[in-house]
Amino acid sequence: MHMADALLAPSVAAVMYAASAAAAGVSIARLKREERTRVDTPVNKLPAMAVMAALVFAGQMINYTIPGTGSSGHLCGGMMLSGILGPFAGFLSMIVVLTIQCLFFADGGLMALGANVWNMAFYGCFVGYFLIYRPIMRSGLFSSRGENAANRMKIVLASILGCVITLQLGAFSVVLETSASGVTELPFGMFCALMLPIHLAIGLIEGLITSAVLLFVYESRPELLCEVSMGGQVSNRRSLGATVVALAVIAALVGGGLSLAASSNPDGLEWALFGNAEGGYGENMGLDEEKFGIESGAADTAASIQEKTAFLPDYAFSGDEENPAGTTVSGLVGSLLVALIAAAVCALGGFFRKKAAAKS
Amino acid sequence: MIEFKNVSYSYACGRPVLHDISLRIEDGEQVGLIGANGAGKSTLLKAAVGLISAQGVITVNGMSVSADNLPEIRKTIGYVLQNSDNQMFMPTVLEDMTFGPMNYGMSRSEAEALADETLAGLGLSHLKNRHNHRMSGGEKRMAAIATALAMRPGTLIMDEPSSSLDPRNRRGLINTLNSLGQTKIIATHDLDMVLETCDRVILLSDGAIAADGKAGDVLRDRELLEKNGLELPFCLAGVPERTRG
Amino acid sequence: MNAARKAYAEIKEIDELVLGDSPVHRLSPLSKLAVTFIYILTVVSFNRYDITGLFVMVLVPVIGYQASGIPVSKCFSKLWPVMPMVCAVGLFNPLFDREIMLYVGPLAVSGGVISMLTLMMKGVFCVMASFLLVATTPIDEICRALRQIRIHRMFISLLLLTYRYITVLLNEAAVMTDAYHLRAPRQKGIQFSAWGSFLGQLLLRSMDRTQELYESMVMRGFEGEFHYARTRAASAYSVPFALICSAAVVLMRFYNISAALGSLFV
Repeated sequence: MHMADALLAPSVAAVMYAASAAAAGVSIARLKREERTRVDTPVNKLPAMAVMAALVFAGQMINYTIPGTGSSGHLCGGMMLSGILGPFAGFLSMIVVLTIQCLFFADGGLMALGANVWNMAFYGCFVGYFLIYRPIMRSGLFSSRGENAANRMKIVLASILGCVITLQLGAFSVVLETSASGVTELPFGMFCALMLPIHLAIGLIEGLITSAVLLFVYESRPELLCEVSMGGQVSNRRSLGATVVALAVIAALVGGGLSLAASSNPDGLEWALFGNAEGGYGENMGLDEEKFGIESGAADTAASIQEKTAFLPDYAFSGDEENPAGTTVSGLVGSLLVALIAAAVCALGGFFRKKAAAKS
Repeated sequence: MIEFKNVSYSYACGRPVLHDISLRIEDGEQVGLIGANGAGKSTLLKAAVGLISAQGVITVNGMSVSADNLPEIRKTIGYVLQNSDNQMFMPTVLEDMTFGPMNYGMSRSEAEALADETLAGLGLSHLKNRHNHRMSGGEKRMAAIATALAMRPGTLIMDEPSSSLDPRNRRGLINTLNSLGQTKIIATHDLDMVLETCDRVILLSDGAIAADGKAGDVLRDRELLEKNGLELPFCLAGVPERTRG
Repeated sequence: MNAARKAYAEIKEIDELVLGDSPVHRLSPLSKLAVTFIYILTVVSFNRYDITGLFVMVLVPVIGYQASGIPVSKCFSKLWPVMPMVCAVGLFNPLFDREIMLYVGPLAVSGGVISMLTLMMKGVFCVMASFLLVATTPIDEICRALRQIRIHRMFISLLLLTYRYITVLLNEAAVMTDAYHLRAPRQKGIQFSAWGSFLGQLLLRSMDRTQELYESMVMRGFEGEFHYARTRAASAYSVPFALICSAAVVLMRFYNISAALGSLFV
């Protein structure tokens, strides 16, 4: 689910960076606040965050064979990190994992890092923790089976549900961001149909892996897990209600989005459905009220952001209106020349390196 | 000078680890701390630097080991962990060596000069800019010792320094230890190394002191050692070769 | 070689590359970071049909690679993580955008094909730029640059520490995987019954490690602040380089250099 730079427009990338940075700022502020009130300081937490982040990284290299099929699953880690470190520390650790993946393994683009952090870390650590993991762990579910069994089942449920939902949200966001960037002709509905089911399966597998690991930790060192009640804590059925509401809202959003895309009257999402070839990418951001009829504060904000950055996209054409693609003959010949220049640079570089090697 | 007076410690679950330990280590002493697994060696060392809060009184250079004194105490003690990967946590050796001094207020250039000097003294200048994950086990161990020495401590505490070292690296370690003048407390299973590097040996058994005397005397007492889960050092025992039965 | 070992090898390779000594290596990390960002931003902002205008952008990383002494081929292995998705997304373009935009001889090329090609080119150029940055700038200098743009200390400390521990844990994961496969030679991955304990063991050992690591840090006076390295002084050309390079990149964005070059001959 890591996005490349090429899939994003600068404006979309900037918005996602801002959102992720805001979430990171909140996390850092929260951790610093805990530093002042807790006996064991977060100096203690920093090593734990670093090692857990490194563990998630290493854990992603492990190949989990799915029984019955020949294929394998992999760990993403957001739910696992927040289950052990808590949401704020978990979020920062995930950012570091994604940053290192981006820098050293080119897994996700530099400019797309903000979007990747949002799609994978934000949902996994915040939505997953506050709306799914914590309510389930604090609820009275399965209490009839005794505390130990109840905890185990709650861990499994929270892990699977959390991973499935957060990965769906992440995949949906990828579709939204890519479509909003105007890089693909793929209709929104079809894009969703391609991304979401696959990530449902991936989420299920990741949920199983996460629950297996968290169960193991619960058996050996339960004190490491967040929100695990031990010794007869009073159940709180009300917090589970929050989960149900949240799930209903999410279902409505996703379902609503998909149905709009599929509906016979797709005014609302025409901008994404019919990547406008004639208008050029600048006008096709699609949040133009007059043309496409979407009125919303968010659209206004996005449009104003796009206007500010749109001096680049608008200036798309180098002076020749009839050949908007820059695909004139001179353009093609020039490209050939550029290729020759590039080759010459490489050859020169190699020549000088050989000379330097011969000298030493 | 490090002194323990009636020091006891139990784990959170209640299991006792140290029982009423009283001992005193003077400046300049080279002490080997030996005992079977679980005897309490590491716990005793951690108590000396305030990593755990034990009952009883521990004083280091006249200061009692309490929260207020910890920074000063830790400045004077170089602690070498058993696992070098946990000790060398910065990306390069140089950064690891300047970490401590800079935390104590030294400027970067001063800390780097100190690091250069320390590495040169140990013959390890070639490791200065090496990434920690690109060193062999032996190199890491020596770099970890350099890191501890970068603080110019008066006392070196080492937990299993020769573990996982090949014979050559082990010999290098022994030579290095013998060249350093600091007070040393070395917790180890390597009794032969203790014979070569320590004057005094303290034998711990089930959290209590079973013996405390000259290295040569304690380590030649076969009965004492075997009673406490150890054996004679190899160089004294004459290791039998494997015979086919 | 299992995946953990491969990842370990990749990190080690970059460790080697950053030790080089070239004009690019000597530039200040902040200038390289800024230019890389400006380059990527500009590449991505090209109109989807402006294939010839975009193409000239290849010169920037090509010159950069040659100047740094790093073979361009090294970055091609870095294309595997993200390019499949880029290609998958782009492959649909010719299906939906069939309006013919130009003829290359007898061949009719639709807008969809052009936009697919530009998307892929953008993908490649951006990866080339990012990799060049990382291959010429050690992690501690990257952290220094991040600090200069006011990224919070906590995050940078975390980045530095995590980077250090990734190699340790990759090693452990690699060894554990090998040990597993020695006793399960016909299996490709970790089987279901071992999922929990395999990673769980690694996790618990890691938690023990964090305790020792914490102790090691406080033993040497750590109170929350990392002091960042400066292993070499930045080149005096850093700022002029950044300005000139950025200007060139922006110029390439607004003027179709390829067309200009071509029009000299056509």
